[in-house]
Amino acid sequence: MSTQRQRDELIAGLATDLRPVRGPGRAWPMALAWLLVAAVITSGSLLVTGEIRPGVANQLVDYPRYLVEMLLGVAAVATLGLAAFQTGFPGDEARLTRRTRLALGLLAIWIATLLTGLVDPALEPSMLGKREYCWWETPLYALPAFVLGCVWLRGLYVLNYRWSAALLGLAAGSLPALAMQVACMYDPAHGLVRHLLPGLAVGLIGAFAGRIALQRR
Amino acid sequence: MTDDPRRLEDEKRWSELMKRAQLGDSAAYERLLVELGHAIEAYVRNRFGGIDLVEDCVQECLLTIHRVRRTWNPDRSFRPWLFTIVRNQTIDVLRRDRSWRRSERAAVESGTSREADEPTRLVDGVVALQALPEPQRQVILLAKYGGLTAAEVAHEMGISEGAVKVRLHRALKAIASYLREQDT
Repeated sequence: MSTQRQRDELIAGLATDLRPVRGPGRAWPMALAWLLVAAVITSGSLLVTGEIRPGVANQLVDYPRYLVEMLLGVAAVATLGLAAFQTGFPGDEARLTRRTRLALGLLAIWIATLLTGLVDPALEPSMLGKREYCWWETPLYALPAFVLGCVWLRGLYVLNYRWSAALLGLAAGSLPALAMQVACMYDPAHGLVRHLLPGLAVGLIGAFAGRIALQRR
Repeated sequence: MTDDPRRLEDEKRWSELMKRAQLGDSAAYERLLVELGHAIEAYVRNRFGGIDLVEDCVQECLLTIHRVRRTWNPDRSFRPWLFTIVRNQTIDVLRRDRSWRRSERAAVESGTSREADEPTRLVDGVVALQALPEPQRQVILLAKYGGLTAAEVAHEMGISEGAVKVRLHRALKAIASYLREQDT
């Protein structure tokens, strides 16, 4: 069969029964859906395996700094997820650069507030609500969301596997780390070492496993 | 890098056809793929010469465009999206074809004909491009392969036109230096 005929048949085949696409070119609907699913997985896992720290709802109301700390964490997680999915939409480098810088900037600020807490904590540190195995619960609860995100990203067009998987890993790992800040005891040093660090490690895993996790073509 | 009226016409027409295709218009999609097939073939021949893999590259690109058509944003330019995919898929096809690379290198080692040299230099060029820092590579691909003007590249990358020109100059210098080293 001639090459031109092969190409013509390929094109005819691709155009037959063409299905419309939903929400073309926009990363945020997919990122939002992923964040919701990841949040359900994380909160469900936490509730099944233990209790939320007693009095945390009042703490969020009575201690504005603690509320701000948590909101910064939410913003960091959301923007990391958005940046991760934006990497699957090629040809818009400017938008990707802006979203990535915003996400990493918010993550840095959130970490900085926790570091500041080593000297001047937002809440009085205590052992109340301590979860014995929080340091491995965090990456464990991150894995299903990370895997799901990889499956969805493979359906897009990722150019840099390691970078996309690293961003996704940071988002997936930061979410349970953030959740542990309400579910587990509050102590800045404990939060940094046993919640955030294991969460950020998921980003590192993503960077190493990026090609295996995302390569499709 | 100057504005080409034909290029602007292509951009406008392809964008419109793709928008209709994303809504499920098969006829518009078929017309778009036929035109893109010709454009991709011209791009590959222009950059890599009369290699046997031209049709493989074209069909691989069309398949990928079909699979990821939802990733094009109708509010953005079509060409950067298209040529980002075309560039990556073409390099992937060339890289995968080890027998092609081996046979071309063997031809260079056994003789010094211009025809034998050219495919290897093309592979070296591809390797040199991949070795560039990401910001420089992006500028080269958008400007030289995607055919965008400096202003368009600056807009796409979110940098100034001056920065585009500096990166382009550095990238071309690095590629030339790499190719000179391969010759020695």
